[in-house]
Formats: sequence, structure tokens, C-alpha cells
Amino acid sequence: MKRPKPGKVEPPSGFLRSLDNVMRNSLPLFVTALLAIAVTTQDQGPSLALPVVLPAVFFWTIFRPTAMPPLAVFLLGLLLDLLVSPNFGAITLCLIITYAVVFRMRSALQKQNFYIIAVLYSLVALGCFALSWLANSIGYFRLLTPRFIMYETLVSTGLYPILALGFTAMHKAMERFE
Amino acid sequence: MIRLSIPLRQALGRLSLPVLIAMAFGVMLLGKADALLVERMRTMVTDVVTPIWSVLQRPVSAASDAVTEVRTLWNMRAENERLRTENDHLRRWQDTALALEAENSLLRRQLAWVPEPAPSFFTARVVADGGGTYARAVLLATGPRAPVRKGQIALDERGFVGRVTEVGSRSARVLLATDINSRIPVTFEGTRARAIMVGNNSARPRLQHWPEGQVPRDGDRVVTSSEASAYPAGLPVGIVRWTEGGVPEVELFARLDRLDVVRLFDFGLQGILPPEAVARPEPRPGRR
Repeated sequence: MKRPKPGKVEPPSGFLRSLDNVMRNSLPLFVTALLAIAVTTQDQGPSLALPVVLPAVFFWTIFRPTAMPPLAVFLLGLLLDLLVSPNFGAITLCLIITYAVVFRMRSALQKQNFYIIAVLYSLVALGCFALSWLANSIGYFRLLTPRFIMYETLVSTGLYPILALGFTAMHKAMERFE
Repeated sequence: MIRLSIPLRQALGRLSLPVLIAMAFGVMLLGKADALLVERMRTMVTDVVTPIWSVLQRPVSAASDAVTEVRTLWNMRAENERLRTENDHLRRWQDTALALEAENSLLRRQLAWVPEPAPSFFTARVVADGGGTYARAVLLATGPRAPVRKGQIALDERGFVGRVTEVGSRSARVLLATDINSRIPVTFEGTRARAIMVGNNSARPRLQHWPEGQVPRDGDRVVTSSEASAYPAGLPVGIVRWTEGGVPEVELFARLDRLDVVRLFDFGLQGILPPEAVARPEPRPGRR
């Protein structure tokens, strides 16, 4: 007689289940915060924090918006502002506005393939870093040199495929446990 | 837990983004309006994050060391040749230095010279470029009972690095000589003329305000001056270099792009300290 295939283990119920869900959903936020802290270590020159955090916010907003709610994006921005930004509040503003734009486009983006998403990401990144330049110029009451917009966009666009691969693996692992 | 009706929850969800965008503008305004509060928050966050930085710093510096190692191996032949030439040059200088040292000690004995006491110092690891208010600053992990004080001088193994501007319970921030806010009184060793070294956020700070007729010469050694009692005299800073555009700059001895460990010297100086708006005020004596 053929033995029946083992089914899924019944998930815990009640409080433990909701705790499990909360922990799983907050994993992307913790990983992103840790990435942000890691890149601010021994980092001289233009900060890499926003170019590294932006791909994470972009990815999770499209593919798992419950793991990257607007409040989490706001808190991430605040953390980066406190860690690296000489112009307090500028990163928070850029991240939350970029989030709002990506959130509106997410259903269209979900249907695209990886390459198109990567190209669209570079446009979003360009917009975000241009906004960051504008916010910093307003914050300092003088026009700053715009040369870092291109540098940060290129770095962030280059990092997106690498980070997206890691995040995709994480996303699939999270789905397996759901 | 409060259960909300679905339409109310949807309405709140729609409102949350505009509210957060407005709050982000508010945060920017707060940063402008109350710099002291923001600076306290920064110090608190960096105090919390410093242990994480300390742990993360090891693999990061291991990776950067590996890259440096590969680059060193690549350039080894040219580097060997350069070092051989420099070694010959330095040997000649060593002979001169030994002769001068002997002559100096002889003259000191004749004058009954009282030597200056050696200043105390504390060594701290650089864990991050903390940023904060300054564009060129580094954050040190100091531990809870470290004898770190605002105004202490930071040196690496080669020369002057900067000055401590903020002290937290586990961290301290050093404003680097290259920061746009940095103004350091310096002396040219050859002519003894004084000037101000002004940071401009690039690798080489500029020189300004030298006495008329005593223009800094290319290759002059620059040391700190004790003007305004902010720095002790004679700490090695760098070498004068003229740019193609005709601006005198200082090529620093200290390697500010790869600081791992710095020594914080307490020379007991109470000169000009950073403004209170960006740093925690010192406790009044007798209120500790």
C-alpha cells in the first residue's frame, strides 16, 4: 500500500501564530536597517546608505508591501538621517515620497520581468537622488553640485540586481513558511 | 486589541501616506529649528549603534585589507624600487638627525633645559564615519569610562587628524581637519610664519591668512600653532602643495581615508571649543 504524502505541519494558532507573522513580516525591515548600519561603517566620501536602502524599499514595496509599510519606510529614513545625513530630514522625505510613487505603480510593476524592473528602478533612483539633491540644496539655502546624483544613481542601479537576488530568495523562503 | 471597521481601516490607510509626507517635512523643519535636540538624538542613536558597528567593522576592514593586499602585490616591484631610493634618502637624513640629536642634547645639558612632560593619551578604534552635523567626521568607540573630553586632539601614527567635538557615553565624534567647519592655526616649520588651515571637505585643506610677504613655499612642513590655546605647538600636520590654480593646500600626513585607530591626546587645553548648538554642554564643576 502506498503511504500518503506528508502534509504541511499545522501552524501554531492564536498568539504564537500572530507573533510568527509579525516576526516574518518585519524581517525585511530589520535586514534593510542592518544593511544601512553596515554600509555606514568605515564609509568615507559620499554616503552609500541611501543607494543601498533604496533598492530594498523598492523591492519590498512591489513584492511584499505588508513587509514595508509607510511607517517602516519613515522610520528607516529617520534612522539614516540620524546616522549619516548632515541635513536632518532630507533622507526621510526622499524615501517616503519615492515609496508613495512606487506604491502607486506596484500592480503594474509586479507583472514585468526582472530586466524591465531593473531599468525602471534606475529611473526611480534617478528621481529619488535628484529629490535628495533638491532637499539638501533647500536645506543648505544654496545650490549644491549635482554631480553626486549620477554617481549615487549608478551605484544604486548597479547594486539593485545583486540585492534583488538576495531579497527574492528571502521572499521565496518567507512564502514557503506561509 | 481595537478592531476597526473595514471602511475606516481603508480610510486610515489612504491617509497614512500624506500624513507621513507632511511629517517628513516637519522633521526637516525640526532639524533646522532645534539643532541641539537633533544632535542629542544623533548621539543617542550612535551610542546604540556603536556596538553593532564594532562587530561589523571587522569583516568590513578584513575585506578592505584583502583588496589593499592584492593592490600591494600588484604594485610590489615599482614600490620596491621607490622604497630603495627613499631608503637611501632616509639614511642620509638619519645620519643628520643623529648628529643633530647629539648636538641638541649637548646644548640642553649646557642650558639646564627642563623637558616638557609627556601628554597622556587614550587609543580608540574608528568604527564609522558618523556624519552627524559634519561632512568629514569619524565616530570612535570609546567604552563607558574612557577619559574622553571635548577638545582633545586626535592623531594617527603619522600626524594630526582632528579634534573631539562630541562625547557620548560609549562613543565620541572627531571633526576631521578636512571638514568645511575646521579651522586650524598652523606654523610653517621653515619660516615660522603662521597661517590658518581651512577645511573644504576635500582631501587637502587650504591655507589662508599668512603674513604679508611670507607666502607658503611648496614642500614646507606644516605643524600646529599654539595660537588661541586650542592646539599645542609643533604637532605634524602636512606639507604645503600649490595647486595648478595657484592655491596653497596642505597634503596631510595623516591618512584620513583609512583611519583605523586614533590616539586622543589630552594636552589640558581649554581653547576655542565647538559651539554649544551642535554639541552637548560640559557639566559645570561641582555638579557631577
